[in-house]
Amino acid sequence: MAKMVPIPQPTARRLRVYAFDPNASLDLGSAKFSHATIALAWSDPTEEPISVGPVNEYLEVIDIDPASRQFYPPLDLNAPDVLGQDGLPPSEGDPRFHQQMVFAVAMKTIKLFERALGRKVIWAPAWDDDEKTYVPTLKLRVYPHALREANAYYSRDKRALLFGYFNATQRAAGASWIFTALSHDIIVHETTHAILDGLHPRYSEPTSIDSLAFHEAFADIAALFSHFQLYEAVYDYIEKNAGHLDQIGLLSGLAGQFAKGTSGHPSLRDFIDTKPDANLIENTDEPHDRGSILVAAVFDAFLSIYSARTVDLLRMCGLQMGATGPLHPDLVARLTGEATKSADHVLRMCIRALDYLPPVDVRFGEFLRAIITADADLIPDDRLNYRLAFIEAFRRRGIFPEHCLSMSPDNLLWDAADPDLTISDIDAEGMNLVPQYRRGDIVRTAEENRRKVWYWLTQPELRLAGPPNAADEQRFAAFRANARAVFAHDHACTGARLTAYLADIDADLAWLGISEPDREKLAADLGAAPTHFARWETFLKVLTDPTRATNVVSDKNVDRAWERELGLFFQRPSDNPLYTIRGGMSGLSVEVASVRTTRRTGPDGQDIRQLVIEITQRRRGYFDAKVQAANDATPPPQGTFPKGDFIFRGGATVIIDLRDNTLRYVITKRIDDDVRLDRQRQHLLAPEAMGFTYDPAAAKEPFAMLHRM
Amino acid sequence: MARRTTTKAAAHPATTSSTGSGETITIRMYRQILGDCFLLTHDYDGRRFRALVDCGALQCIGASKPNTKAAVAHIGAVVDDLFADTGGELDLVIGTHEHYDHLSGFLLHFDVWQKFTIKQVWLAWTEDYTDSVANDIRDKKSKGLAALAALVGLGAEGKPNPFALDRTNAEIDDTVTRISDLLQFYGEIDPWQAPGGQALAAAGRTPRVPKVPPRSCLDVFDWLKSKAADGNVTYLSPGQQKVFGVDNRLKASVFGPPRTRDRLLKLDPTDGPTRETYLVRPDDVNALDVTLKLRAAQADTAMTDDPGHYPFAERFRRWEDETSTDAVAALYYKGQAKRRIDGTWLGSADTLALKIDGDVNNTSLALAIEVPGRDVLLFPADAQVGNWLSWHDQQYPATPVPLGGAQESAEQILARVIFYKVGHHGSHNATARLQGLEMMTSPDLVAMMPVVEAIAREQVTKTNPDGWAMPYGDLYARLKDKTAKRIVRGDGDRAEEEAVFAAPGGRFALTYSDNGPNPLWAELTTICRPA
Repeated sequence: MAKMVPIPQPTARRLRVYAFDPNASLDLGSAKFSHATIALAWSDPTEEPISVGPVNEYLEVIDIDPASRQFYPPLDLNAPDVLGQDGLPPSEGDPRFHQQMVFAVAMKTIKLFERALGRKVIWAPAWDDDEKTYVPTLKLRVYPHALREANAYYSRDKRALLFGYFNATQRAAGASWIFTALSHDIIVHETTHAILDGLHPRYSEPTSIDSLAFHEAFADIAALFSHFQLYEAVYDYIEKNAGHLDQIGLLSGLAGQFAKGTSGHPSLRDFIDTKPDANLIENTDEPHDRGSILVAAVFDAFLSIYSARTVDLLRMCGLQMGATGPLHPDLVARLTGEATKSADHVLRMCIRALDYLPPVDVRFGEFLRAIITADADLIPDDRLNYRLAFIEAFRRRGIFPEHCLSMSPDNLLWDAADPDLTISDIDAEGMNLVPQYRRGDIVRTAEENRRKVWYWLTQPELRLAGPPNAADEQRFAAFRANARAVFAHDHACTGARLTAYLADIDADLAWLGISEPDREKLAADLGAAPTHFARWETFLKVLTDPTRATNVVSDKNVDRAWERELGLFFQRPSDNPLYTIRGGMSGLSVEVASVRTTRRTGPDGQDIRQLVIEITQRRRGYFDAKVQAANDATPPPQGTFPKGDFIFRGGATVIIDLRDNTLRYVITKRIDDDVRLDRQRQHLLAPEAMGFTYDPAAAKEPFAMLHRM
Repeated sequence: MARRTTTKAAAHPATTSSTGSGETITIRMYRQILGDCFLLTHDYDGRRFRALVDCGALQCIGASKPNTKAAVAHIGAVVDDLFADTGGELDLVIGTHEHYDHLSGFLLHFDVWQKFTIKQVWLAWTEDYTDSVANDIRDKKSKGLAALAALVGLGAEGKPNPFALDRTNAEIDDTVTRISDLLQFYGEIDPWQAPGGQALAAAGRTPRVPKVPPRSCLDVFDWLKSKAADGNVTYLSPGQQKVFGVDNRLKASVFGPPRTRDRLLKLDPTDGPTRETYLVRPDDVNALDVTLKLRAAQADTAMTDDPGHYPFAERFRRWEDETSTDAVAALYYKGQAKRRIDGTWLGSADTLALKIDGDVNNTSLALAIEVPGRDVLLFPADAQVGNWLSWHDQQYPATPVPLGGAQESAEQILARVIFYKVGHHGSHNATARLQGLEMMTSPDLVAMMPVVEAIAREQVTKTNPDGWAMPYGDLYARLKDKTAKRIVRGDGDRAEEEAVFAAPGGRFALTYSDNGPNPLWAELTTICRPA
């Protein structure tokens, strides 16, 4: 019997796709680079293998076409005939190739984000209305033929990408049917919406004209810069334009065939604006249009960076900037390399910035600050002036951060956190910070950590009455840490376990000055409380009550300092009670929206490990400022929970350096910022604005390639 | 009928006080209709001019809803009253736009209307069959409506047809209901017929053959045109000014609908789709049309169909099959039902129906009527935001007579508005804020709001369980501020309204058709200021 010798595994699974879209492959000028091959990992031991669909760890492609009552046969990427030829050859006429292309391009986009973010992509969870909780979404659905219309969108509701197809009304599209699932740009754009929504679920709320526009802009940035990974296309372009990248064309525009098929234009959006206008942004409020200004700024930064990286090459060849005429093929190859690298750097800078943004109500100016800060953290020495290139490009388009002294790189950095606030005790929470590789584990540990952070955050600052005594302090700290750990479990603090726990701590409670009748009452109240946080609040209510826990003193100053830093309130402020923030039994509702760990490596071996925590709070907003003031000042009738006209959110993104457990940045959107509240109100009231939510149908799918309305 | 004749004299100060010197303007709003029916009376020098603005109510469609059903006869009383009061003679009829809630009186009581004498008819330029832009807009609309009507047909219940829409699916059912409701705003919908060639379109098309008695809102317009006869029909374009009334003492400035030929032809995508006033996209209509052909063909000929309706060749076709054991099919059909997309494709039809509805509202003939003394009455019909914003695109008159003569801006005219017919029954999107209501700065401002809130709230779908927000809260509140609460509502509380208008300082006197709690109409009368 012959001995089995293992065969080395292939390095990659290659899948062919259209580089741009089917139309670009018909054009003589672009035909030679119209097809591309995407290489995905052959097998990743941490991921579920690819099965028929294709279905894998991240995506499930389901090719149902309800308008035509069809369910197209699914593609098996593991079939030998498919493996043997790098996937099916590009074809508009075979739905299985469409499945292959959406799958491959979406996966490429996912991996691109993971590389820059330093962690796995997680989809936005779904709200389970029966269980009143979020359930994780393990796989994003992809429907390549969901709609018969000139549109494609990411549906938050269905956690799915829906692609449409349609009959072209314009001859220029070069096809009678146009499939958005075959447009590289549209796939990247919609996938990016889904990724961004997983990262910042609150960004889909129409809080300002910038918020939805940011979503659109980011999706376009990802689509645009993915063009520069197409070496042949970039080479050809540089060869034709004598090294210049600032000419309008295939690389700088998006969704060519889609645009030709619908409006007859060469591209849906083009991002080269030769004369940036610093006032344009003031008057632009359609989300895609406004987003285009941001994309143009990023593209401009890219052009400056490319130029800085290539000026020496051109000089060596005796060429001036602006020279025309044929270039030496070696030079074209070198320039192409620089263009590809510059694009990669720019896109990564943008993606890294996502962790440095506030959790709600993002503005373009804040994106700039996030880019600068994230980059400065990873790459302190900005030798090629990347950061200046960004600042200059944003400045020229009138994108200014608020409350910023000047547009110099130092001033744009996020302010360092208050040095008096320490997080040394966060270690005691037993957070699971071991890097996880499986997405299921990541989701699970993130959820556990989220709850631990919530307990850590909502604990009031307490100390013992009387003179300090190390042994007592230690006992008290251990008591509190234990309590947090116990209460954080859904079921660990009910029934017999609760009785056992209370018996355990009975001596501690007595030591804290809680009388026997109060201890009995606490036991009864805890038994009646329905959820873990209700139990926790019940517990805290006793502990923070100086008449009941006579040996415990609350240190309000520390809590107030945290409130100031985080821009939200744990207790109602006495001067301005803000009754529009919903309160619990012992304090105000605060949500820890997400906890995530990241690990990034800089070009010079810098290694950054961070914990990013997003904390939010909601407040009822009213369309009428007078009604707002009245509701802020008076509590709602006992037992009622009014809804208000809209939700106003505040909160902070907290960035913790895990190397030394220091608080680096707290990026805040204050909940008591009435100016911001009024701006959101005005935005919602303006009928011309996109946040025109009086029509629920229009608000339902905000992430469409074209808005239906 | 005795009630009416006895109460009217008492309730109509204009009639009694017209002694020759006092010049008065009276605006009558018929009440308890979710729709517009306004009678404008100009009394001067013992003579009288009467103009009707629209005559319709929404209530008569979708007769299953209780309030709706109860009101079917009501519009009949309105038409009878109009006839009795005017002696069947109207100096002018203004038809604002092609919607049921503005024209259904003509459809339902055509026998009475036939007896009327109508001297003049005013319509918007969009109703002119010799205007090629108007024809383009109308063709697109008709094609879209025909496709939507066919879609609703597919959804008809009890059709043993595998390609009919599955009304047991909540998403599908809700969408089809919503589309069907919107279609009823047009009356009977003509099957789509391709327009003639380009040359014909340019030269003006042969008018469609209207049905008599009228069966659709379009038929009503056709009938009005023939009733007034050639030479007495005027199509109005923005910037135009037209005198009318006794001795031509009234002057209407045409604010809308906007002429958007330039904007229609300009395809620059940076303009953004939201900025167009009429924006049904041909793609949307086409996509729906092909899909319908596919489904209809399948139904008729049991799967022998036109391959042009499918995107893929036959060998790739596989019918949907809930019982399939295929792994991907199982993924779809079993579990996570909320993530299925069975009816999602209908979203584009839904949007199209809404869009056409908005487009037709935007073809509203919006008039600012200047009365002697320079005060202005504003009748914007159901103009939505796009229409309102366009009022500021031109001066009034657009072409001064004589050349170099005086012109006014819309803002100047709005500043003199003392009467506002609230647009689109007080909905959120039919009164522009900064470019509209906030420019009406006259302290004398009053408003009439043709709304019946109970009926608006009845327009319920699964996705919109609260019905229509008419009047829209914020607008209503602001309107109260601006008018010092001098608002007459179609379903208003009589005592409350009388108390507000009895307060000193107002320009208008309020009267009702009778002394009951729920009179047929309300009237506002003002004595014109000396010129």
